Amino acid sequence: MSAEVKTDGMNRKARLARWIGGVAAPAALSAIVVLFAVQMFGYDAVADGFSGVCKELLAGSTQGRQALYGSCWHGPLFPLFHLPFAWLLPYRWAVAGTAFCAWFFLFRAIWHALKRFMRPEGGQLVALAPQIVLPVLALAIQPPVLAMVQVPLTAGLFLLAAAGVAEWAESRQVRSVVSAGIACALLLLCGASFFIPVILFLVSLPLLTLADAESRRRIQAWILLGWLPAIYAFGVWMLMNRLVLGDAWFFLRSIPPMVHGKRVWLLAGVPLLWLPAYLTTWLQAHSRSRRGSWMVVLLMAGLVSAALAFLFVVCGWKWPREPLLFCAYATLPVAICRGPKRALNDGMIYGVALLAVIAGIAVFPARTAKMIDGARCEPGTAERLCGEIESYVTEKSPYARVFVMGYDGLSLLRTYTGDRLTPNMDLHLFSLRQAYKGQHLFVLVPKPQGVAATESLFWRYPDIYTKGIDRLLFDRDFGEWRLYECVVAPTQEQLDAWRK
Amino acid sequence: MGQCEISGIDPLELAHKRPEWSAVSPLTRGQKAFSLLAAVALVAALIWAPMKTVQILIAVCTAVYVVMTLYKFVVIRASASPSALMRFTPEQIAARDAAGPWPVYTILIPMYKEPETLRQMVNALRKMDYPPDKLDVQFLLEEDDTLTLSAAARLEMPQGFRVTKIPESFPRTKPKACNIGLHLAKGKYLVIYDAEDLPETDQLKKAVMAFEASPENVACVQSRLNYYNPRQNLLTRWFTAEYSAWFDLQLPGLAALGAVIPLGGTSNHFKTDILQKLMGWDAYNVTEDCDLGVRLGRAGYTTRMLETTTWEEACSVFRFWIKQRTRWQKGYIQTWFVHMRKPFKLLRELGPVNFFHYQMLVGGVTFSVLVNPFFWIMALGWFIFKPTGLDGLFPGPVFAAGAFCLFIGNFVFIYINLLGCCKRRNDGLMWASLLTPIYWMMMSYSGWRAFIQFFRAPFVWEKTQHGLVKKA
Repeated sequence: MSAEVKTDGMNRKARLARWIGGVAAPAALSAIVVLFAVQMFGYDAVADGFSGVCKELLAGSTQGRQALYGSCWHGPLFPLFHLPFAWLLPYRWAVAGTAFCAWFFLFRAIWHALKRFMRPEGGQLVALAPQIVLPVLALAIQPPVLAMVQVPLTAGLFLLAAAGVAEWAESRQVRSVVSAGIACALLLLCGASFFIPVILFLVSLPLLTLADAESRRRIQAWILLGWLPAIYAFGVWMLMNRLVLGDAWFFLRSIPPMVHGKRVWLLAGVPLLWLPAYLTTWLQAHSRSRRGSWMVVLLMAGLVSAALAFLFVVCGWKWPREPLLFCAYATLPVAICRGPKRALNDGMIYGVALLAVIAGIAVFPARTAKMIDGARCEPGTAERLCGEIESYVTEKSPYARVFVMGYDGLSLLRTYTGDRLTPNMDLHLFSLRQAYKGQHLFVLVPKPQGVAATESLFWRYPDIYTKGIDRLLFDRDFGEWRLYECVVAPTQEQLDAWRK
Repeated sequence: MGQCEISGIDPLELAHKRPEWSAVSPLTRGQKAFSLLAAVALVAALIWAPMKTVQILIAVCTAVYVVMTLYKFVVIRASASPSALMRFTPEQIAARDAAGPWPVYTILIPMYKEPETLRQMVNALRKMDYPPDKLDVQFLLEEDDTLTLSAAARLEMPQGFRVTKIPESFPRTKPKACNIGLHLAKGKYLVIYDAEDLPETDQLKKAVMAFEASPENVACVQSRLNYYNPRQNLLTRWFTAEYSAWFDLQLPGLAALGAVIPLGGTSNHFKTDILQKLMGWDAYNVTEDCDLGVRLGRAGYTTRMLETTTWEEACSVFRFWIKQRTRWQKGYIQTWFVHMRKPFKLLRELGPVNFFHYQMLVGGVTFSVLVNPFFWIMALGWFIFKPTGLDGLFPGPVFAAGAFCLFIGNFVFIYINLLGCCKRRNDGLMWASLLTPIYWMMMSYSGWRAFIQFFRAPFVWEKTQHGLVKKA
């Protein structure tokens, strides 16, 4: 009887710990982070990038569908994640809801990783809470991270993929490979920055099977389970490109401009930021798997070194300071997943986490200022800009219409409610003139910098920003936006009037 | 060899005493009136506002699909829970051996015109690791089945084995035979095996231990079923993949969630007294096992899953497979209508969560096989011809939800089959699982066949042909 009571008590304690650690604490932390983010940067900054796409998707426009699938640098996962919120809730609530769920997802992912690897019992889970809070706080304290919903989502997925691979290396459990496979598929849909980490994770599955005969025998099963979600996700992305844009490879066509434009760091550099975390996973996998082979770890380390050497020597790439910090944060959650009995050193973890927090706080003001300066579609700025452009073109003609180009255009118009400014993803002047016959048409082009330079507008018309194109005449600049007027051949009456 | 004569046993007890629980009348008057009214209203709406009506129908169907996809996801996730399966190690079994005598166990084996599988069954039961003097094995043979009866007469049956002759009467169904077997059962526990079954030898001991380790309200323990001829042809590959997903993932997941479980056709172990109290199986229901699972739930009992496998023969001939599947789906339709006669009473008895499980498991499966073809045609039409009118049927959110079902939902269902194969270590079947959509089309064909048969011949039992693997 007493044993039963004791077991009941332990179960209750474990349930309470699970509830606190798995639900209450992540929810509370997420709420704090989101409140802080919206207070600090405003709702518009938090929603930057995908709320404009969602607005168009909900309006059922072709532009929205094109934006959803049309560029590998703007993965469809974020708009799709935000879409239900945008559909059901008012703008601010939708942004806050999306941010809350993204952060909650990250905290839950960390919780899962801890539970899987540490296998704590009962109240031990509560004792682990600081180890969850500190690294995530270190991650969250960074302005670009805090202000962007994308980061917790991708960090959570990355962690799930890493933890899945590491756990699979140890246990060969079906659920681990499934978890890794699904996380990889979703990570793939986050955009091209994650293609390389996903490929590395997926390649590591068959490599890990080399460790023992039983796994080698079942290699087709592991490959199929692990790879299929990612292959399928990629296939669907291609299919949607074929259906929406008429070219299955359209979304990948923005990779070559990135290379040619010497923006190779975005292509290769950003994925490499995840490599320390990836390596940690491998070490983790090896240290937990008695069947692991050091050869594989060495091979991976060699590949990473070769890639870095290539970037430094051939591409003349310099490792920036911010990504280094980022690496540390990305690595931390995986690092804390190391088993408590083997490698977890509480003092070390707390020390590293604390250092990360201090470093984050130290660079906080500078980075905040930099971020706000660098933004083209900031809150207030966007609304002011839209107002300026609208009044300018209305003065010129009461029938004016402005096509705002690209993803930056969607972002600029995310809260715009008028109908003078219209988003456009792919400039087809002839079709536009046909569709808006008799109207005075303008085209607003963003400066081709960063990811914006890879958009179809710039690989179809490389000089559009500097020189314009046929039938587009420069009108004036609005900050980093350039307004062009669309000219048509004058009618006979106009020619006669000019002659007089 | 002992033989039992039947006297004073009513195999249709359930239909006679509690007709509201039986499929003896497939549709009640109220259900007929309601169905008719719904059909008339639908036709009227289609005439009055065709576009709007179709839009609403599509929205409702899409919503059901979304819920079903998410539901499957939750169930599969729950299957990883430790409580999904009851496991017993050989050491635990040995300890139970030493602890005391095993109870008498009744095994019912209904057979009809299957003389070739009789010897295999007897041999399989001989190998069971259970005290022979505690076995009460009944071969339930129809009186007019001279072939099997004479084969049984030629066989030398061990102690505790007997043949029970089932008198010829309507309806000629397996549950009717089982009800007679139930009345004659001597065991504390009871299990049903099909003629071609090969249960794992320690299954009975595990079942006893499962009952002993479970609370009083556990009335049934379901073993996992799988096939011993998965590689015979593509059909058996698909069938095995489906069974692996159902018995190794979905049913354990349901057990972990404490859901009402539609029992599998064989290898379900019962507490005999509870089964007798529930008046056994419904002789008019062609999936009496599924119906019994729901009745157990309504009576407040639960079912657990046991980590032991009974190996069966997968139907390898398309024609027979269609017949078998038609019967199963007709049975699901029967079961749904029987328990939905008084939906609020069902809701009260099962509780809201189990009511939802019931709708998903029994109603949802039937719904999807019947509705799927329309959506496949629409999707194909959209991809190939891109008709302009079709867009109007899917307003924004419905389109998004539809796309979710098309791209995520279908993938989830295929992936579940892959998982089932992987868990069963049937890696060779995984490639065939990628072609599961063709199997779904076959299911939809048999689903519509079942739907029509439900109205035209509700009690027809299209018997599954066994022994095909040997012929092959």
